Formats: sequence, structure tokens, C-alpha cells
Amino acid sequence: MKRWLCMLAALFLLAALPAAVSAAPPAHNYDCSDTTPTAYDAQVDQAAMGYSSSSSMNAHASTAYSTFRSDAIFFFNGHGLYYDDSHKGGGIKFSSESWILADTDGHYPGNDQYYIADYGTDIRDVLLAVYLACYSSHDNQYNGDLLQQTMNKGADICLGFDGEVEVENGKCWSGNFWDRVRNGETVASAASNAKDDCYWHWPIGYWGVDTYEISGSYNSYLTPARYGIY
Amino acid sequence: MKWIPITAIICIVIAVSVAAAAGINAPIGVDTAKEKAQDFLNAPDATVQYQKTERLNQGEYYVFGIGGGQVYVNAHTGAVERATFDSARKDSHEIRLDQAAAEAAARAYAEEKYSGFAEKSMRLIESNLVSHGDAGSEYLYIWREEKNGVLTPNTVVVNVNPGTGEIVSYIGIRREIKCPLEPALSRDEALKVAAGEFPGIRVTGATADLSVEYTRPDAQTLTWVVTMKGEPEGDVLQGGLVVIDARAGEVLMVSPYL
Repeated sequence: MKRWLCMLAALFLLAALPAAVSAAPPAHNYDCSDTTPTAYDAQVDQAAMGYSSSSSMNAHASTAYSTFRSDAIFFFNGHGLYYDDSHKGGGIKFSSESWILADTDGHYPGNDQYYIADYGTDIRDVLLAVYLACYSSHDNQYNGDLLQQTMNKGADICLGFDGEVEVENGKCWSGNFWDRVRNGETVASAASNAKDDCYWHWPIGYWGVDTYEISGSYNSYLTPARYGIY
Repeated sequence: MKWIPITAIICIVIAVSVAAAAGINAPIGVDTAKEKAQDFLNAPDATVQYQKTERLNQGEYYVFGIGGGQVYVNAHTGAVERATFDSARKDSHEIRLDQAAAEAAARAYAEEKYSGFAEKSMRLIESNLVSHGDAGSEYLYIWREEKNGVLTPNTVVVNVNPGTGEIVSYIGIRREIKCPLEPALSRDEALKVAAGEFPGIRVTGATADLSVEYTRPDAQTLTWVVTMKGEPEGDVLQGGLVVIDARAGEVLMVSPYL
């Protein structure tokens, strides 16, 4: 009788295991320029924090836009929108000239555009969105403000840059940022300390990573793994 | 038979000299480094927790947690080369300090913490009030030593909370310059090499600075650090950062804008 009970308990545990695994909040990471392996490195750090994380290179915007709906964490490293000196920010570029944009007011970059403004309550579960791209936190009168729009749609925390960031320092910042949040720093502390981590790497200087801007609950930790509050 | 004690004495002298020479570069150890961190904090009883040893191109560090911050102690010289104070970021939304007061606070801190700050030819190369959105703002001050028109790795960075005047973070690197400071490549030649890395862009602006960088562990290299900005194409900014060995002409890094 005891043996049967043990077997039954083991079966229950086995059945519950996939449910527990799939219950981990998802995190998607995208490298969309010569930025590898930042998405993979972020994935590893997020997995260590208990997120069900994945990474990809050169994804199409449609994929990222679609999976954003289920994400707790969204991380992009690639090009930001720069139409001209007076109209920059508001968009991030994916493969095949596809873009995720905050909004539009008459400018349609590339071949395919997907708008954060078109989400209803779809991304209200997002805990953190990180847009590592040139001017990703800059308000563009043509295409809006990515951080503001993401926050308007219910994300808890959103991070972008209001300056020119280049590939190598972007990689440096990303690696250190995710490592630091994994080791228990708040989003704000990790963002700030990661910029200093980059300062003394060659060539000496911040090279734009000091222009990070955070909207929302900047003093939050990413552990325990969870969705955003809605 | 007299040569035996003489040889023995010579051997002992050589052995002692070698040991002393080796001792110069030997790590100071975690316990000594911990005392250096406490000295830096002007708090001999401060709780300082060893976290890790980090090896970077410009040096090896013992990293200590200080309860809401970190201190990086150079493992060989004992100098504190970096400190962050997370709690000092509080109340940084309202700008209560003007630029002059913030710079005075930053300079006073640099003079206190960076040995020889006043004697070195330190040039203030950046002073900004940087906004981090909802996370507040900070005044940022960067000094670099300049020798014969070359920026050296000797640098001080002080970030100041604009609301409280507290120091948020500090970086201070002090190194002997061991590489020649005369470039073989002129500025124009460096700009030409950099332009070759971004073929087809319509350049709208460029900067080029001679800078001594640790491009490899413990190895200083005289470099041209070039930024080249081009007109956007396909809604993406063109150009980026290029680092060139200023003596050999070799391109060491090409880093396009994101």
C-alpha cells in the first residue's frame, strides 16, 4: 500500500513539474545589430533569477511585438530611430527593416511598423523593458516617446538612452547591468554602476551610457522573478 | 676556501633583492585592502565585506561591499580607485545645488581622495547635469591628465547628487606613463583611417584625441580615439567610435553607433 502511495505522490510531482516550469515569467532578449552576445548573456542572468528567458539574433519586429504581450522582461540591443537631428528616438529597429515604434505622426520608417500605442492592455504585465539603442528615451515629434508610451501601456519600469551609444560600450553596459541586477542590485543602482563599469574600460569614457533614463519603479529589484503589477 | 662564504653572501643578497623586487608587485591581500577601504571611507569600524577579485586591463582589484555601495581597492598599490554610494542617490530629483557649488564639492572630494590631484595637470574635460528620468539626476565631472597634448589614463570622475550635494560615485586612476607619447600617425591620417572604416557615409562631424589606453592587460598603448558622425541612412545614425594605434597605425576597435 505504501509503495502505491509513494508512486502516486511521485506521479503528482512529475505532473506538477512542467506546470511549475512554465509558470516562470518569460523574458525575451533581442540582439539586432553587431551586439551579440548581449541577448544571450542577459538570458543567462535572467534564468538565474528565475525567469523563463530566451534570446535571439536579428528577429523580425512582428515576433518581438507579439511576444512582448506575454513578457515580464523585454530587452532590445540594436539601432534606434534617427531620422534627422531634430527627429530622433521613438523607435527600435529589427531585421528586414522592421520597427517597433512608440507611435506615429506621419513618419513610417522601413518596411513594417508596429506601434506600442496600438497595444490595449496587452503589456500591462511587463515588469521591465530595456531599450538599449541610440536616443531610445528621446521624445520624437514624429514617432513619440518609447519610454512614456511603454509606461502608459502599463509596464512597471522602462529604461532607455538619451544619447549616442555605440556597440562596444552598449555591450559593456548590458553585460554589467544584467550581472548586477542578478546579484541583487536595484534597477537604478545597476544602471548607474554599469555605466561606471564601462568608464574605465578602454577607451576611457562613458561614450553615451551615462545618458540612461529610467521611468517607473526604478528602485525595484528583479528578484523574486515575477510579472509587473497591474 | 675563502670563496665559499663570499659566494654564499652574494647568493643571499641576490635572493633578498629578487624577493624584494617580487614583493613590489605582489598583491597586498584582502585584509590590508579592507583597511585601505575603511581609511578611504574615514570610518575604521565601517562594515566592509569582501565580494570578489576583478582583473581588468588597467589593474587588479579587491571589490568590497559597503552596505549600499562598493569600493574597489587596487590589489597591488592599495589605492582606492572606485567607490559608489547607492544611498547617496536619494533625493536627487530636485536641483538644489547650482553648477558652481556642485563643481566645488566634486573638486574638494577629488583633492581629498586622489593623491597629487592639485600637482598633476588635470583638465576638466566634462561637466554636466545628467538626467536619469524618474531615477533623478546627477552632476558629472570628469578630469583627465594631459601631457604634451595626450590624455593619459590618469583620471578622476566624481558624480554629485544635485539635491543633497552628496558624492554618488568616484573613480580615480593614477598610473605611471610607460609608453611613448609621440604619435607616428597625424590627426588627419587618423581621421582618414577612421573614415575608411565607415565607407560611404557623409561625415557631419568628427573628433580625434590622442589618448593612452590599456588596450591589453597591463599594457599602455598610445591611441587615436576618433568619433565620426555621418548623416543618418535608413533612419539610423551612421558612424561611430574608432580606436587606432597611434604609432603602428593598426585599427584596434571599430564600434558603430546603435
